[in-house]
Amino acid sequence: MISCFIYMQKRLHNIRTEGLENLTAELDQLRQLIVSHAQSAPIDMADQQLALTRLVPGLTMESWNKLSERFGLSDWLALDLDNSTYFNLANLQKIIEDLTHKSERDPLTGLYNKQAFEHKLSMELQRVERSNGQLSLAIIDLDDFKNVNDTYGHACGDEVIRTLADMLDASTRGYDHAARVGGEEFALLLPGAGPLRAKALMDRLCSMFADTLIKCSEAAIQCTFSAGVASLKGRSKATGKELFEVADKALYQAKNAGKNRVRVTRQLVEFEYDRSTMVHSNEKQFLFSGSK
Amino acid sequence: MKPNNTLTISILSGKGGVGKTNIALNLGYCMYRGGFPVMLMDCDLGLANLDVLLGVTPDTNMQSLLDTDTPADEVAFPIEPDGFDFLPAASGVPELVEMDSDLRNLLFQRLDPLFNNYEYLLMDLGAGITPTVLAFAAMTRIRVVVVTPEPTSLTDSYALMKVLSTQHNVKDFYIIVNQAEDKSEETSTYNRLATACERFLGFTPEFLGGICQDKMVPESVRKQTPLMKNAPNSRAAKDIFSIAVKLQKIKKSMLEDISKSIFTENTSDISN
Repeated sequence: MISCFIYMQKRLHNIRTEGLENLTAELDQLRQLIVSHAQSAPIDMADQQLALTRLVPGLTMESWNKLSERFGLSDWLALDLDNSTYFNLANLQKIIEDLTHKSERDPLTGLYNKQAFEHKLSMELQRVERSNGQLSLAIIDLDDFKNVNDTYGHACGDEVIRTLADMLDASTRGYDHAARVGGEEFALLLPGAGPLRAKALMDRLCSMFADTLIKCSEAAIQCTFSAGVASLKGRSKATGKELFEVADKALYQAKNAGKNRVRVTRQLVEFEYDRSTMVHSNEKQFLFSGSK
Repeated sequence: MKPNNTLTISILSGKGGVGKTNIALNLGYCMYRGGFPVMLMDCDLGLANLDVLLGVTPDTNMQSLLDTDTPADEVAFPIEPDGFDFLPAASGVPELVEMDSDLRNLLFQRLDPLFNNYEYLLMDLGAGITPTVLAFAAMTRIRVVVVTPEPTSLTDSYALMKVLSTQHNVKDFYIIVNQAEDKSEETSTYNRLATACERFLGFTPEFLGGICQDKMVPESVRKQTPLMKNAPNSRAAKDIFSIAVKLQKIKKSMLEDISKSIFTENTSDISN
């Protein structure tokens, strides 16, 4: 019941913001690019300017005019794509969007596929390094999935996979990334989440999924998953592959401990900080007493 | 082109509340009264309080340089006419505390033309060992570390020097001992710190001077007037004056170095 509610909320949410998930990140990157460019560009380039257009679905010229007036957004140039002048442009953009969507998504679940996920992961890793933030990666694997396929058939197996995918998609925040990275293996990328928050989220998902009855033909299937979580913090030089490996180890521990559970790795993928700057006890002792 | 003549000095401490900002302000005032134009830069980005010590409320601050096209000389706020200005920082902006190298470069690019008008650029750094504090400290020609006789202050300033020397290869520091009861406590505080540096870090920071405990200091803070103006004949004021004289001597001896660039070559490799 709860999962259903969250699912509905997410879908409603999606209607309004589809195509805008990355807007903040895009603007952020653009700003960085311009700042670094401005430093290296010769001075006579300062007069150059460029108009960039970005599609904003669900916004009419009328409401834009109001927004623009209210927030002083006169630097933004608005083009109404509904009129015939830009019809071809809008059409072309739509085709590009569709193709991008298809090439990034797993056809069964609609989640990101492995390649797209790896790309997201490398982007988030760069962001963590830059912002000195946190990032968690969860790898999720359905327990005894072969039994489901053998007992109920592949169609029902697909239904189980779809159910988990919908739950992952619905229960996470807009800037989290969920992907299907293998047959019965999923990955969840949680920017800004440390090990504690990631564990809490995964525990919730784990028990929610275990309590879900998945209806398929005449049967009601109950299935569980195990998950391994790896987190990193700060100016990490870790690669996506390393993060995957650490999360995989944690997943292995969860499976070994009896499945249907979440394990967070104790091995923190963390930037090896420079211990040479640390003040040791003998140095403190010396400062306090003037002798060793 | 006129050769650079600006001596850049960062005032640091590791621990907060040791009188860093007040010392920066009064040293600046001494130099100004000595006829040298001074720029006082509030580098406690994010939690600025030089304006509070001065009892002024500038409309713009360094944040405006990053956000808008405001010219640098409009952000400089005159404390005294003809040659004692200060650059206010923003208060309550956590983002500024963890400035990245891009933002830092942009800030100094905007400020650079302004700095050449001054003989002294005093940078009042925040407490702690944040990347911003370390980067600013590594940039300046002279680093003055303010300590008090308290063990916490000694440890924090030692930690700060250790980080700067191991991470930024900066090994020259001047020490001011503040709030000591008498000259012998001043000396023993300096000796303890200097010996620890010599023994564990392989360099000896130089003693710049001591500023005795003096009730005129908190009184001037409450009056929001520089001590040097409010009570120029007090013990602490005389101590600060001696330090300013010593800095002027140091500046003379460094003139050739400064003429090439007001900041050290360190500026290029502080990008992390």
